[in-house]
Amino acid sequence: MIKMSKEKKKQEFVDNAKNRLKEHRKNEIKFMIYRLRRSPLSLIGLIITTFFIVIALAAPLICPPNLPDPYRMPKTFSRTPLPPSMEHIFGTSGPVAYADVFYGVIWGTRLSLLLAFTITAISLSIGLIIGTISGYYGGILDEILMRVVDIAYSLPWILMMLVLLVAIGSRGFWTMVSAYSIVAWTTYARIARGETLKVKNELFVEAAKSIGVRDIYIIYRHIIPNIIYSVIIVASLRIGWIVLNTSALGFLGLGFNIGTAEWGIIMSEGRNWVLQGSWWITVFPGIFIFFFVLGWQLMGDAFRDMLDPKVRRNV
Amino acid sequence: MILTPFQSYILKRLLFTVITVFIVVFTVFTISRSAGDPVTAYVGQDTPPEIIEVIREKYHLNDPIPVQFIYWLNGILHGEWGRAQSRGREPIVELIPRYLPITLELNLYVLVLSLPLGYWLGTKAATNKDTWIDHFSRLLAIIGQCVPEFFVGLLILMFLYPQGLIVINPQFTFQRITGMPTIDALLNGDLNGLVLAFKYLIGPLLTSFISSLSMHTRLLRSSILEELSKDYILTGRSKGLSKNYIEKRYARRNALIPFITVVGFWMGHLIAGGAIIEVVFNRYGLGMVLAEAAKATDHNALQAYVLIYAIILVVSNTIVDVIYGYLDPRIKTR
Repeated sequence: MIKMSKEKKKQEFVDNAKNRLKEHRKNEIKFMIYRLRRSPLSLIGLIITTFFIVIALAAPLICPPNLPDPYRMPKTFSRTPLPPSMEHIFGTSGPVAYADVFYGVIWGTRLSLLLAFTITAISLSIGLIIGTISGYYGGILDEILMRVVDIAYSLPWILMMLVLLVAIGSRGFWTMVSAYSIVAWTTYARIARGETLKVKNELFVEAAKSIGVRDIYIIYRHIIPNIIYSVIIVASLRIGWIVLNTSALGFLGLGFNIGTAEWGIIMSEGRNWVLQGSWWITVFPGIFIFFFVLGWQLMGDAFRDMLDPKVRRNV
Repeated sequence: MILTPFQSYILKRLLFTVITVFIVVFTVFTISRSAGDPVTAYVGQDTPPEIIEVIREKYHLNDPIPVQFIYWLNGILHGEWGRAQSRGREPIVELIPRYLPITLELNLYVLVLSLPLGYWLGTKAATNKDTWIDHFSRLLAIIGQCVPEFFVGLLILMFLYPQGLIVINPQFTFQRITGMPTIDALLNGDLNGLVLAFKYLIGPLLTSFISSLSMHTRLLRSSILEELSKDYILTGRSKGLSKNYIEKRYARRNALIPFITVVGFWMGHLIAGGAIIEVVFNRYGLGMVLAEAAKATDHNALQAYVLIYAIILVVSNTIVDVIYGYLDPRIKTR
């Protein structure tokens, strides 16, 4: 009888805790929506990024894909670039690529978004693993890793990217992704390490250690959930940056082949014609890059306001 | 010889940067030697294999990479930098004095113009928060962060070229002294040449200036705002110091420390990032030939340019460290 009530009590306690957690989560989401609605800039950011995600998803509907490779722009031959018209809404780029700018801009959205997400996912995972391990264990491993990060940090990114792209030799999506990830993981490693150092002496980590939880499990269950927000905030701020940088490399004629639907590549085509007055080849992709980066910048700030425990409540 | 703490600090920093540069140059060397066959720099397509073998022996291309690196470094020290395939197989030692001054000229102007103006604007924006000057600085920050430099450059080109304010590929008639067109024109006393040199410079200068100014203003603004929210400012106010005095003597000086650190990074990035601007305006500087070398997978030239950039990085980092030491008295006495 007594045993029974003990079981019941335990069950009640667990249920209670679960309910409170549910309540807490509900409040959190309510708070986030409240924050989002209170700052018009975050809302604008949300609208812009949603717009780009919709374009990226709907690209095959807006412009029928140019098979077999939809990321190669269809050719419209003409001796000089054709200005915007009903047939070519944003005009064409003329020699050498003979591309339709509207097609390039739309599929370029898809490519840029894919590029940014893939690079972020890969470099964030690598950085998170290396950073937490390095911060958690410390010692000689930490010393070596952080020297590597320091050196990488003090170099101009464009120089590193040039050398890596040339070393890899090929062109295309995965070339860009691998070169960029090699450069970008250090940012996340640096942040993950710093945050791990703060968390690893907390009582809950001590408690887990004292009951003999394995290190790998502590990192996975206790450290990473506590530091992930700081990393995600930085990642969201970096998404616009990735597109800015990859398009700059595309503009230099690196990373992708001519004729690829990539904003920087189209603009480098436009550069040949800008003195002849063909503004549409550079202006349309340029505006797309600007709004893409702006949207993610505002989103990143919004994420920081919502997720960062240090600033979220005191505004 | 006994070193003061400040001198030993500078020496330590210098040592760190030199080691960094060494590691970087070695890594780049290893990457490019293992990525491409260096023998292609010396031979044509129809060279018989026996001759290729002879060339390999002669230039130590069969040795392990660390040994090759020592030979390469030795060659660099003796002025044998190899030839640049990407620029018509010209010797690289002759290319660098031709193109480096063009890049340095641009960055010198950007530095002289954007640092003081950014300093002024950043301080003004932070101390007059939410006034028109603050809104202007935020607008500038958004432009600098979200508009790619090459787009700014192309727009400038689009608007100023038809006005005849920008020239591309000018032919300078005056005698070459320093390699920097505007300074050479002045030294020669050639007024028409000076105008031409400035028309050659104005496009890249404006582009780089806008992005640099926006970065400096944004950094200094946020850094001063952070300092102004600290307790010692409140203490100063409560003991009756004037707002102006606190902002100038306390907040600005402390805010400069993080600012200078970032400016140090920026100098390195400015010179390499100038590649994009130089490509926009077809301005033949080091960045332009770097981009050319990368596009043509010219490993030999790429290694040499990376070395030059690394040396520039060492110099600018050391300058920053010295300034840092003067700004932060804790470093001098530690």
